[in-house]
Amino acid sequence: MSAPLLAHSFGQVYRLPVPVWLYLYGACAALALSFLVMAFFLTADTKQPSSITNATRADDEPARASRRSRLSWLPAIVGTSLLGLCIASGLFGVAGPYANFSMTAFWIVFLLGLTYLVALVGDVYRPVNPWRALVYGLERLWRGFADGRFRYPERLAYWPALGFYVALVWLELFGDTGPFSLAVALLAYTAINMVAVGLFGARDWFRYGELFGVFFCLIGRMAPRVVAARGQGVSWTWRAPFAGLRYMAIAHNSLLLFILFMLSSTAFDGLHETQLWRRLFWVELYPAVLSGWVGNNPIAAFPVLLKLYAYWNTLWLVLSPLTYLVVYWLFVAAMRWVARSERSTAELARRFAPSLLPIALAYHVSHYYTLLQTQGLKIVPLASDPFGYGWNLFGTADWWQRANVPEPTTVWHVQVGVIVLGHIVGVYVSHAIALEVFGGRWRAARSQLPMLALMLAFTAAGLWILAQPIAG
Amino acid sequence: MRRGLFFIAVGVAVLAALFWAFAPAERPARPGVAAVSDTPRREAFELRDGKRVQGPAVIAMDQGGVLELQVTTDRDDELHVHGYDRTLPVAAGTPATLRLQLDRAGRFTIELHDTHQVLTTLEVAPA
Repeated sequence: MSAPLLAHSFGQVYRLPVPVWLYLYGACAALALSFLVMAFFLTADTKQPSSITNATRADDEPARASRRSRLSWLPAIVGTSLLGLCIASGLFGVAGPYANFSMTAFWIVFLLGLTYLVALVGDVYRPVNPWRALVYGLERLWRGFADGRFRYPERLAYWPALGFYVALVWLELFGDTGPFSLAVALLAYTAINMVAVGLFGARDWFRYGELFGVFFCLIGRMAPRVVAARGQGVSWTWRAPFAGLRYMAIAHNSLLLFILFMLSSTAFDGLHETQLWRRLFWVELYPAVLSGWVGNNPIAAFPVLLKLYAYWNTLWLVLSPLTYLVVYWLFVAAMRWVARSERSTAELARRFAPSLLPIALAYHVSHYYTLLQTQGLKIVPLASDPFGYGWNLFGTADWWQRANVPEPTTVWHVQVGVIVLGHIVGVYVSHAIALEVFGGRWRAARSQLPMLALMLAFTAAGLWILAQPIAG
Repeated sequence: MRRGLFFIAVGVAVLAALFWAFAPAERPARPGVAAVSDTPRREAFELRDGKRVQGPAVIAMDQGGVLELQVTTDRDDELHVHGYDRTLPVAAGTPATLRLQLDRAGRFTIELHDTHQVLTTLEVAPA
């Protein structure tokens, strides 16, 4: 029987699988260049000063600042207005996802576009964060609201942010959202944020609990641009790209899982639309295991199977960061053994976690960047007619109506190039951290052999998924 | 600094050498895909109760080819080829034909607008 056609996540993807030779080329290039990075470090005498800073603390916010941090009003108003427009167009606009402003604005421009912007210029999300702006707006009317009533429980750590992240990816892949349901989800998220701030205070909630705050802060750590506090004002300075990853403390295992989920959710998104994944359930699992339960008649069993397939996919989405964690943990344990380190595996796992971020970003770019080209540009016509009522506010409503199909050859080369580049940066950052942690050029290099194998495994997996035939 | 540049140069050389070693001189033949010719490939589809009863789930072709889709349904609907943005109204019971010059490469779904049913997927390999 044929596999069902499930609703795709938003945006047309015209992607063809990467040809096998290019996939093999990418894997070999990653392997060869990894050893080049190792040789680079072995011939250098590097001794860097160390000052590890908390991963999700914005650079302009001192550790013991007053809870009422400053807010610049212009970006705050822009952020809040855009959130408001998204919700309003979702609630009152047309139901067609492509004719309504909200879907393209949230899923494409905000979630993908802003990620790549933040990776380039630093955490510009923080000043426009609409929920933060709402909190400080409320604070003006209701003094003390942003201080919260209770201390943020230490045990909660980054778990709320991770929970929201899993929910977001689930909505993206299986939620079959339309403008209306997206608006409802955004309203619910707004309400949860307000209640959480009322309970635990703005400073801790936006550092640990608010998904996008945590996500963009991690991404911003890779940017070559950073904000620094200068007396009363704030100034921007430049640094080497990815340099922010070397001295970054991952304070809690929940943040390590968050980083692993950045990798695994993208990998799962790629995997679940391949023919292989569909076959695993419908051709292998159904006749061999499930038919005893739901019966042999495929037509009669189909509605039940469809439901089981949805649970099956959700299960693997939730388990995906744990499978990545098991693999990561094993290789970190191997590194610990090779380097004869006295630190615990857990401590090393957290210390080296930032080196996974470039690979996560590379996965993300290679899977989603074409959507900016095919769907992201549509924000220009949609801005003139956000509700789909036939308005033409800025005279751009008729722009770029023809489908913008990216050339597959270009897409393949960008995908493989980005993945190999992300791998190299990951290997580089990991080696730099090893020099910090283990000291000694040769000891650090030895310790990197297991890490190199790990990153090759992640990179090869990413490439392999891109090379798989996509299910109809 | 000079050491860094040296390593970058070696890296680029390694990438170029590997590319030269891996890139195929000619595009490999794909099983089941005929060579590009001016004679169009014809595929006939039939839909009953919104379900495909005749026609392939995937049509694999090369850029530059010509495809003729013939669709017969038992309901009035409109056929939409994504990426090419071509539409074809289909009336119940009457076969309708759409001729596509495959000038764009990529993976395009062909669906029926009213029922949102994906009819087939067109995979056009780049020339």
